[in-house]
Amino acid sequence: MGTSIEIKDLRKYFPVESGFIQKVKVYLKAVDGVSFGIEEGDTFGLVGESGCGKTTIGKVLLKLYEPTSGKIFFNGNDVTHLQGGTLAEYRKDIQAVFQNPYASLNPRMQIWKLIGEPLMARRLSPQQVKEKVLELLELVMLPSDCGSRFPHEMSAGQRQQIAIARALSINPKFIVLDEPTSLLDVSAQASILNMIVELQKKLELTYLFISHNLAVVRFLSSRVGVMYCGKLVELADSRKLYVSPKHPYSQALLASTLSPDPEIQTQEIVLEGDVISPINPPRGCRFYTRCQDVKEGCKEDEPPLLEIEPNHFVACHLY
Amino acid sequence: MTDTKEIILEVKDLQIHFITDRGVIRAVEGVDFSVRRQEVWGLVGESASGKSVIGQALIGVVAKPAGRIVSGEVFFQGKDILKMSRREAEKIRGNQIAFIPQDPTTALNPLLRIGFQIGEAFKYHRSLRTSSISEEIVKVMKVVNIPSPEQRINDYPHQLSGGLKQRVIIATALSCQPDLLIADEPTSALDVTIQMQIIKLIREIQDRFQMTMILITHNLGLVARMCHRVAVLYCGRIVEEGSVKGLFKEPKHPYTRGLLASLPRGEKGDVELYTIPGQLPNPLYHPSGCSFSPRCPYASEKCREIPPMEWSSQGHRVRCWRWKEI
Repeated sequence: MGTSIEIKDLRKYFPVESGFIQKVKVYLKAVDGVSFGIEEGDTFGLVGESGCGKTTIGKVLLKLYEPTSGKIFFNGNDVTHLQGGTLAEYRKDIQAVFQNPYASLNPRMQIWKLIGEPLMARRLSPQQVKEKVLELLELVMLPSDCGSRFPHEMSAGQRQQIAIARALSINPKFIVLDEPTSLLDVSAQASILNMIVELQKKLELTYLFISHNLAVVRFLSSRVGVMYCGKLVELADSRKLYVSPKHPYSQALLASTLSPDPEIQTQEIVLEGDVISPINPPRGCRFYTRCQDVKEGCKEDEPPLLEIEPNHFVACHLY
Repeated sequence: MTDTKEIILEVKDLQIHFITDRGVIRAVEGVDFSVRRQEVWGLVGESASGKSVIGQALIGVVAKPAGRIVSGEVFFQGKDILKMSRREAEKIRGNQIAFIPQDPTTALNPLLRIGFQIGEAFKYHRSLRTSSISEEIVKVMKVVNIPSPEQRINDYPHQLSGGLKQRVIIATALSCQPDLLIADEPTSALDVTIQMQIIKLIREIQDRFQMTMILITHNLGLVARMCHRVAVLYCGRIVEEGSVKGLFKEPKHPYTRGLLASLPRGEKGDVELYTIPGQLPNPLYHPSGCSFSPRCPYASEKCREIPPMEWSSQGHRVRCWRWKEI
């Protein structure tokens, strides 16, 4: 299978104003030169802490943000600057499930309408919409009689099932899953994760899975990118990354996963300080302020993302 | 080891109800437990299990007028807090029992300098002179590793990051060197690397001041990392309690087993995650009998009655009719 989606040197800067007397144009560099590709039918996990730019990448792929520079390819076609009709075509193939099902579902719409809205926009007849909604409810394992209910009657897990049904309604090929389980309890999280895996097999979907929860990413993804302050610091197959992470930040991130087994407790790496601001990041490596293995050169030169083993990329001067 | 230590907090048959327009919510339905000195005792449960309400009851801030403590006794160092007069209770709260709330962004007053907020408890409980207060505040800020405390003391909350705000809150809680610290989800609003910093800090402090701690959380990983003993709460009742090692290794209650089995641990392509069938019940209508029975794969006729708490081994108790068979 070929590459479904590919981004090349993607950048997204947000202007922020600064200066009291003289306004100076300053940019928040949310995504600063990120490249990766996702194979068709595969899941790519994007992990990092808040503010690292992972959600911005998702939104740029969905064309909710216009990228500052860089290219996006979907099935080999350049989709970076689509507009009008071709953009609508692209959006048939790419859908999203967002983090907060309390904010992403209109509280005044009934469930069938929420799920059927994309279909109505495709000008299906009311009868066809009804049939398709029933089909989708079954697909996400919701009772078929819940169509007439409102979102407030549903639990958080069920709301996320509705959001998934809605995303699937127009048969997309690619879905951006932005922290779909981070607001759920563990028992609801388990059923949503199982469903995401099931649906991928059944419908041959490609996923971009964005999360800060490393255990969840490991469970779902075959390839993982670790982001820090707008940059990809490590890119590897999930099996390799979780067994032998190379970048000091990936190592610290993995060490901070809390294992639910009191007898297996990983060695602790506690990073000092806070994440630096993506407004005016330092010249060298963005991680050097918190890095335990910092060297002279780290403050001066920005490390490029290099392939240190086949298919394992790291941006660090140690390698 | 901890068994020989004296009991610092004992809760007996605590019941808390909320009177709402739609009916009575039985948030806590008869909870008994005791915490020993210098122990870290964990209380885990999913949302709406009643864990935070129990924490609120221990410091006497259950939302009124809707919330009512219907029955129960809470003995802290031998005295029942629930029967104390307001003035007596205020002497203990913030002084001998301190509280760390979940969200550091809403817990601090945005209009007051952080030094003032840390020092409030000093002023109230220790009646120190204003001149010596700032020295004490700087000392506490050093304990929680806030960099350059002399300058930070005059900062406002919005000038601090999430991790630093949580440190300020821990400093306010520690200011009077409490005997018992109640932490309600102290790290769940923080990023993972900052979470590690706070976990390390809380553990150091607990060790250094020999503090007793109640950790309220939904995160089983956090419990495994921090606690000595743990109780699992479901629908306002403790369904299982034991040492962390024992409970995680050999969970007895079907709910505890389900929770542990539903955590993702493996690689892609591994087996499916276990899911607990059904949904959490509506808090207005808790099932009669064992509240987990409608979702339990082992439920039988007998489960229509509420099972008693039974000791399965030393220090491990479980509330299930069929724990021996399953």
